Amino acid sequence: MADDRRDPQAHLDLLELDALRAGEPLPASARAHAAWCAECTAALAELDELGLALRAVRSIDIPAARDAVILADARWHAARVRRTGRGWMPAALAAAAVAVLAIAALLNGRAAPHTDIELASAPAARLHDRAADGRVTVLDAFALARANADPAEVDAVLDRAVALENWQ
Amino acid sequence: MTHRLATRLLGALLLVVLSPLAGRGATPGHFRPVEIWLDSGDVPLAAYQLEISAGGDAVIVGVEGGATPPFTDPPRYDPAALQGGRIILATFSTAADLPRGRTRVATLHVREAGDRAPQYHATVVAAAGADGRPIPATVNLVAQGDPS
Repeated sequence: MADDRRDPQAHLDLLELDALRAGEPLPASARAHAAWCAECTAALAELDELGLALRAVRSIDIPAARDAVILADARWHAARVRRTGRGWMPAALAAAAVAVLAIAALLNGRAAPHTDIELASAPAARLHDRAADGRVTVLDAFALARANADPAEVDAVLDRAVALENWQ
Repeated sequence: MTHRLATRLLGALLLVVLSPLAGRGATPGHFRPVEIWLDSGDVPLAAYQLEISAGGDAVIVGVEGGATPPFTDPPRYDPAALQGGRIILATFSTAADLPRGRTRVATLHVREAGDRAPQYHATVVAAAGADGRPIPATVNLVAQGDPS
C-alpha cells in the first residue's frame, strides 16, 4: 500500500508519476503535491507522451544478448537494493525495466529468444537458496557467451557474479 | 659468587629449553593446497560457480586451475578475496569436449595460521551443462595432507 509519510514538498518520482498517470493508489500527499507543482505536472505530461509513443510501437527488435545483459543488470541492481535495505523503489524500477522489456518482446511477437537465452537466477535457485533472490551468476555470463555477446560484456557479468560484495 | 653463577647458568638453560616453545605461537603458519572437485554425474560440466570459505585464521592466497580441460585455467574470482577466508569461483566453457563425473576444477592455496587445520566449506551456487541449463552437481574439497 502507498506510504503517506513522504515529504509533501518532494517531487514525485518516476513510479509515483506513473501511478498517477495510470490512476493507481498513491499517497494523498503525493497527489496534493502533483496538483500544484508545475515541474511534476510537466513530468507527468512527458510520461503521458511516452506512454502514447510506446503504445504506437508495433515492433521493437532487442538483440537476445542485449536483452540478457539488461535483465542481468536489473537483477543485480534489485539484489543490491534488497541487501542494502534502501527500500522498494529502486527494486521496483528494476522490475519495471524488466516488465517493459517483456512487453516489448511480446509486441515483437517473439517468444524464441528467451528459450535460447536461459537466464540464470530462477534456475540457479533450484541448486542453491541464495541464488533465489535473483543475483547474477555464472549462468548469466554463460548465457551471454552462448549468444555471442560482446566478450567485454560477458567478462563484466562474470566479474559481477564473483564479486564478494554481492555475496555478503 | 657461586650462587650468582649458578643462577646465570640456570637462566641460560631455561632460555635454551623454552625458546622453541615460545617461538611456536609466533609462527607465520603453513601453506596448504585445497583441491576443489566437482561431480556433475553423467552430464558434461560447462559452467560452475562455487562459494568456498575457510574457518579460523586461514587466508586464501592463491587460485590455481583444474586438472582437466577446459578448466585448467584458474576460474574467475574477486581479487579482494585473496588475503581473506572466503571466495567465489566461477567459470564456464563453450568447448565441445566437456568433462563428466568427478573433476578437479581448481585448487586453492591457503595459509593456515593455527596448529589445528581449519574447517573448509564449499557450496555449489550454480552449475550448468553445455546447453546452459542448470544441472545438479556436488562439490568436495580435499585439503592436501588430510588422511583421506
